[in-house]
Amino acid sequence: MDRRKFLKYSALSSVGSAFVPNFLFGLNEKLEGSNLRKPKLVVIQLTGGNDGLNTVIPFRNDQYYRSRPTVAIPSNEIIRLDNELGLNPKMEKFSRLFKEGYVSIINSVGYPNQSRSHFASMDIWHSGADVNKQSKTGWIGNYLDVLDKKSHHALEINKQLSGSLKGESISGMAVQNVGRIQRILHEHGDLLAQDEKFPVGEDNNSFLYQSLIDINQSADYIKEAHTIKTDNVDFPKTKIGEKLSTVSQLIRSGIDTEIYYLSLRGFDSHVNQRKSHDQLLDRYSSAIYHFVESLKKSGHFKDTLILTFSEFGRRVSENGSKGTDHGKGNSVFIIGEHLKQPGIFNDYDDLNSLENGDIPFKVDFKNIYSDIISEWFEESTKGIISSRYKSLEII
Amino acid sequence: MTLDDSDKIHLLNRFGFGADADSVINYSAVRFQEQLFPEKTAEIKWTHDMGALKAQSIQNMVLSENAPYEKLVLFWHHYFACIIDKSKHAILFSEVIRKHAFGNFKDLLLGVSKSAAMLHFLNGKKNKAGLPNENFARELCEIYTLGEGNGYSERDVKEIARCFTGWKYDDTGTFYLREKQFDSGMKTVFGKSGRYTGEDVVELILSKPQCANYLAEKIYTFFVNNRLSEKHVFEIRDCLMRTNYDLQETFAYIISVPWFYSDQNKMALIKSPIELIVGLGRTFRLKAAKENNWFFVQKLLNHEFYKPKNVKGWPMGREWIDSSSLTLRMHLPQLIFGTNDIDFEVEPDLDQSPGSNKFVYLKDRLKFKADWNYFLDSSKKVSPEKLWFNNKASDVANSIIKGHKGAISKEYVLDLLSLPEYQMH
Repeated sequence: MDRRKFLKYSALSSVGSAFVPNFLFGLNEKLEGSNLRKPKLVVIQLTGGNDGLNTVIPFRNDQYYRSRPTVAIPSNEIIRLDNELGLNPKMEKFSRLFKEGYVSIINSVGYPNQSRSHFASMDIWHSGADVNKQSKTGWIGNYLDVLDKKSHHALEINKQLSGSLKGESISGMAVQNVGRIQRILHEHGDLLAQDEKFPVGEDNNSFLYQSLIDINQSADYIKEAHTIKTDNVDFPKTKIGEKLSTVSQLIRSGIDTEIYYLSLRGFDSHVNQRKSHDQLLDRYSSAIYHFVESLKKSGHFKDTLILTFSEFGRRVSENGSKGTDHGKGNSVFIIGEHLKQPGIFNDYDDLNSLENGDIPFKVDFKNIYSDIISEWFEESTKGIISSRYKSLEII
Repeated sequence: MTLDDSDKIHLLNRFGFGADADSVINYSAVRFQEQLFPEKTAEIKWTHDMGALKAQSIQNMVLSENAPYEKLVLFWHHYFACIIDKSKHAILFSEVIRKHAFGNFKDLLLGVSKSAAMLHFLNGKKNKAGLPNENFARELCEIYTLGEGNGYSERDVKEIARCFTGWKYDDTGTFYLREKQFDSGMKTVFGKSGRYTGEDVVELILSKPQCANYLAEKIYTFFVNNRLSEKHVFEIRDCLMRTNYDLQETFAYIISVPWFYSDQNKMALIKSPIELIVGLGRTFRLKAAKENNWFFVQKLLNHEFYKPKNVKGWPMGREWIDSSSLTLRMHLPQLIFGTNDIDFEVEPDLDQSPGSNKFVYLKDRLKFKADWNYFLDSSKKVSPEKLWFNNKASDVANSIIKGHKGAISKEYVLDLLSLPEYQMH
């Protein structure tokens, strides 16, 4: 069946399951016993600037306690990872993953001339470009563009698409918006029913018409794949738990999506930070633990890599409102079954030699992106990440 | 040259926010030029709330009697992409653009370079003798004049940064030079040496043909076609160089040449969200239920005044399109006509409201009132199909048009507005 015919059948099939087109599945899904690797990446964005110092805590450091009389976490509560660093007490489940050797913690991640604006800094993380060579597209969007992928190869579990997934001619899709997209398309069903007559060509009008066909296809299919509620573990009933449950379902459905993107909001902890921040880390830790359990059960964990980042860390010293303000370097987590370097990749630098009260950056975040593209997806970073980096040998 | 209706529509699409019936019927080249290059522009009483200011910036375009001029203003806002948080700075920045929109590019470039908004955005105010900050110097070359790696070296960037040292602005946002921080030593820029100032550097840059070429490409992409014609870009470049960057002469040249009106340029561009909204606003004389609705619609469509994504500016053409944005744009008329029951939301702006954690829901913030009678009257003079699609509708669009019988109804108008063709101009 050719693509245009398929559309006739699938267009606006909003009820029932019926028909899932084969081309949307990975080809090797059907080749049983095939050992072709199908790498998946899950990116978790902690929006607002996660306080890395209260996440991965230098519990022997006097400077940490002196700088944070009300915000610091008492050393006896901290979950110790080694002699210097420990985790926030709410991250007990996450620490289990760490102890299994599934986690690599990279500290002091950032970029030169760190911006303290949420908008600007998030844009820099999204683009994956050098600060001097800012870009209108995101690193994941570039991945789709350069490798000629389809929209559904990168899905964001959100209502809106973040800058990371914006490409020049192809962008990822926001899954929680799929229902809305379908409703809108449905209202224009008379037009879509005539897809055979849609113009084809290199011009912009044909581009818009053909984009509609792609959107319609991908929306139908994603809806199909993620309305099948089949949790294989008890995901926590939190927003992040539900989002990761969705990702797990999608991965287990066999859809050939390669990148999943989700964000957990609320990390902008300027005021009375302890309680709210601890609660967020609790939700993150618990959700990610169950997510890994779910993938282990289904045999997908070995093919899944999870990256967690935030747009910046927070200042070492607390502010006057029992909170912390925007800082610089921050911790990044990489989670996977067979990491080359699980554990703590690097310690914090001496907190006594701060850069204007901030943790200076030591590892460029683009180096991590670059390793993911070249070592996890085994693709060239050309056109995706603006600079070249020597591997960190983590993945 | 004489323009037929299709040419006039094309002209009003590109230098304007779409053609209206009266303009097509009563078209005169003189009147058009008066609108494009008005002798006096309306004095604006700016508001000082940032959200309201963004609303006002788009309302100016909807209500203006000089839509062609407002389109030039929009172009320069795209060209000099600058993220601005303070309303005082944003107003001054807009005034500079409005003052020089069709004046001389050098005055415009210097005015923008000296604006508080730009001195803040690209760290110019931190650029001091002995402690240079290269941010502005680099973007000046890469984004605002020459194009990346096009006729300048890393060494030039360093030396240019020294020329702009000591540039400051005071509490009112007015530019001044702090002599003590100005590096008065010898600098070597593009192989020439002298005790150059920032103003000198602007002269040196403008004298390079790469600068005229870069500006010509940007003008062509925005006003003519995103597929560059080398020949036509050269013509614009030559015009800029010949007239010493006189923008009025350059724009007047572009609208006087036959290739501007060629078939392949008509309806070839994808509208930016602001072009889409302003077009709807003018066609239906939209009135916002609350003025800030003009701001929320910018947020919804990710095309917010004074808030480009970064120094590279807002997207262009196809970059605006993804699954969410295309369906939303097709649905926008329903939102505006109030026949919509789907809610939309935007993420909280953490830089404006720190610690905020909630999506902002827009259902009640997107209400506009359309002047349906005005629209019906004009559509009797020139059909909306002709004005909106300019003879370039696809087969599928034409079959919808041909299938329609009888008087123009709201349903039919919504069908037309939802066609991908309406996203084009």
